[in-house]
Amino acid sequence: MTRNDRFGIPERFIKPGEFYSSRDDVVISTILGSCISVALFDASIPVGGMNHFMLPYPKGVEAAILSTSAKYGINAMELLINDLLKMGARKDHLRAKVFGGSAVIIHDKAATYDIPEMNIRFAIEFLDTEGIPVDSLSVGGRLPRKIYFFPATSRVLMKYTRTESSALSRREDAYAHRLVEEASNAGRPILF
Amino acid sequence: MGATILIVDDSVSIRQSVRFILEQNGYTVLEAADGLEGLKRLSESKVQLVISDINMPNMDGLTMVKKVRETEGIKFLPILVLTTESQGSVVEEGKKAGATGWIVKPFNNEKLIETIKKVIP
Repeated sequence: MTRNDRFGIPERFIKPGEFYSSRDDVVISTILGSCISVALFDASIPVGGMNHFMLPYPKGVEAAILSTSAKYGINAMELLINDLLKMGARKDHLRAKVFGGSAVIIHDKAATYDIPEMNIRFAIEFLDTEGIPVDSLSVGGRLPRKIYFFPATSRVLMKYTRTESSALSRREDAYAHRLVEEASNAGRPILF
Repeated sequence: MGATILIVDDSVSIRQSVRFILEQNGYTVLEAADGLEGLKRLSESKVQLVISDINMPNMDGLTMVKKVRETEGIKFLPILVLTTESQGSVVEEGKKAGATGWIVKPFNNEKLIETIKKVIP
């Protein structure tokens, strides 16, 4: 945790593939290109958390939520939800705010496969399937987003940023490749 | 006709994604949203294998495993735990509770089916 001087509270910055949740007066921040962040909160506690993920690669014409790639999104969501439940949240109290999915990655699959669009569709379908209401949504477009989420109040500050675009695109691309790699040697099942 | 597998998970998305893979491989699928509902399904229907999450409301997966191990008729039913938990201590707890195996999410489709075939050939 570093201290954010502007807000006068501790700040936790999350990178692609990470999530963080808290019951304290802190700010959770991230920068999003084509990735998605979902902020989830149970205001009755209050507790909130946010993740930062993407679906690594396409898989045919299945519904976004049934694709192989979606498992990585489902997993990112489940890790965050389980963490919130452990901090006292109730699943039927959770509400969401969704950000990201802008078209900043320039990659070889761009012509046939729209990563940001797939990510956005996944997030919306997932929340709908799980019955988690979406309070606000800022997705799509071409500019990266800087997000500040305050779990204690569920408030979000968002701004568009031009400066980080190319570094961000490289970082997200590296993350996508790492996911595909991990996918091929994913969790070896244990039989007792 | 494939074996019947019960999926116990509070996430509708996970149930859908596991159901999709199992049905593609010829299995019949039943669903339950938590441990309590899982036990209810087991008392109503003949099931050859259970695939269960751990963190669920009402009754968690490991409690359900223990209950199954105490219940005549389903005592020896194979139960695979499918979870985001990968910590050694939690896996050990699962083994003690009587789980048959442990699969960490996000799982690999082929390995999941391979493991199922080992447990119910």
